[in-house]
Amino acid sequence: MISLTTLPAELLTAILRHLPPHEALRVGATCRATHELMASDAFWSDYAVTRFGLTAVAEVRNASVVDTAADTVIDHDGGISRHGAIYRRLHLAARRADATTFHGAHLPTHYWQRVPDPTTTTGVALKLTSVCWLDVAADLPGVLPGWYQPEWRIRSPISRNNAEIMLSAEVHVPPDRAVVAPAMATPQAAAEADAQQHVTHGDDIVYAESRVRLGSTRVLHPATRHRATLNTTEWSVVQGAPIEVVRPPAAAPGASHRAGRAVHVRLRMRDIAPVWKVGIVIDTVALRPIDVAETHTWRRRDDGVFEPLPGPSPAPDAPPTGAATATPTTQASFAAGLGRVVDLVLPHIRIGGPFRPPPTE
Amino acid sequence: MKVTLTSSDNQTFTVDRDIAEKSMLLKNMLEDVGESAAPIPLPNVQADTLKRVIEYCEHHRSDAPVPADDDKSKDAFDSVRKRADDIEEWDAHFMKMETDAIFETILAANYLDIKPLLDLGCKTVANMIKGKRAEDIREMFNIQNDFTPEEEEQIRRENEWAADA
Repeated sequence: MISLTTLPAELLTAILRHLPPHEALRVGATCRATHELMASDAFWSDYAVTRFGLTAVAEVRNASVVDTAADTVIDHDGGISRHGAIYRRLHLAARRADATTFHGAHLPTHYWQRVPDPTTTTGVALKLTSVCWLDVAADLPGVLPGWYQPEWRIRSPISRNNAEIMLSAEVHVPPDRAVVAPAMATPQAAAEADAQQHVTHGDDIVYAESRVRLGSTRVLHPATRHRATLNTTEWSVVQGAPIEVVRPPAAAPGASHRAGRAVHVRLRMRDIAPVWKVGIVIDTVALRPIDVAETHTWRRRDDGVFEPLPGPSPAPDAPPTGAATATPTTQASFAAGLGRVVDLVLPHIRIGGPFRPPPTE
Repeated sequence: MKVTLTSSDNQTFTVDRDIAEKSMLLKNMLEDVGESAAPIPLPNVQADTLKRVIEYCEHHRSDAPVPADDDKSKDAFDSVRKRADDIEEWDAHFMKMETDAIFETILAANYLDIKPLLDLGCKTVANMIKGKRAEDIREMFNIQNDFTPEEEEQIRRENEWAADA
């Protein structure tokens, strides 16, 4: 008799492709045979490609620096290291949201539309005709602790109306029931949902934001990562301020296993000032991990792009960085680096726990 | 032109050639051998499964042929992008069968290389798994739990990163 576990591996993989990671992993938790399959590199490569696309996975493979950072986090976490490489690969791919996953105010209507666009990651772009209440977001589930820089791959006309659009990152530590923050169906609902979340979750949500002027300096050409001018014909990467995601406090005894575990980061584009924002096109938004261990300071290049200054290598016994347990030394040195650019609107932002001001030297 | 198929339990089915050609395996075979009245043996497919597969192919007779599979990964990506619960009513009704029969259908679709049916079968099983705990999945598919409690705890920790994904 044939059953789930006696299917050939390729067919089981074909089934699991249709499930999100946490559901797929539950199948791997049923018995040794399925667990073995899901511990294989081949499975996760295939899974990541089918769920996130070749582009995202190829990018992940090339990001060796990123791997180091994520490895440290995973190893330090205990228990996960056995299959660290596999989880890491998938996880990195999961830190990207494409145009199809955006939700928000006036979406999709004639204000915001999903249009076919072969130059995007998935073949679909989210295009703004014009809107006054601009508020769209994408959610990235299951983000591991660490430092990240939000990166928006967008196009935009140079318009005074688009000048003050806020790109923000919010972390949601889901309570037992709500896994995803309420969808933002209407401006009113969005505002109410905002208010409600802040009330109910208290310290569980820390709202981090950075003002990014579209068309200003922190725009990178996605291929060369050099300065680019934001325009309507070519994609550019707009960077938000670096954020640190920390592991939320462990669940109290008796609480649901979910509490205090994964964090959920919402990346949001917002400007509700009474001017009509026009012509913005979104491809993806991603959290690019920053390797704090190799980064002591940030500097602003002459062309206005922020880049990490390579610092001296950390001592061999240096504790893992980026995790919730990062030592004060590491945090201080990084914060000190950030401190240099605070006047350039790069605040020290820490999300995933109660807000703490940057440590002073 | 008609094509005769023989199941593993020696039952014969006669179908129109365009129905048989929904299967890439049969399509390639028919192109190779040309006109032939000889029945084609399908040693991997039982009669009741073959009957269902034919029923599916007949219903989807007028569907556009599946484009050639030159970029396998991209193709799989596309089929996943369509939500797993996005199943046509007839197809959903068609898949209402015993769990065993679903797996037999998946195996047959894979062997005969009928991609839409394979996708449909996989989505159906994925939907059955959705929202279930590991215990529920074991019960549903008759899976023996062969982990020690320590291993189960270890796996639970391993999987934490995705807990709310």
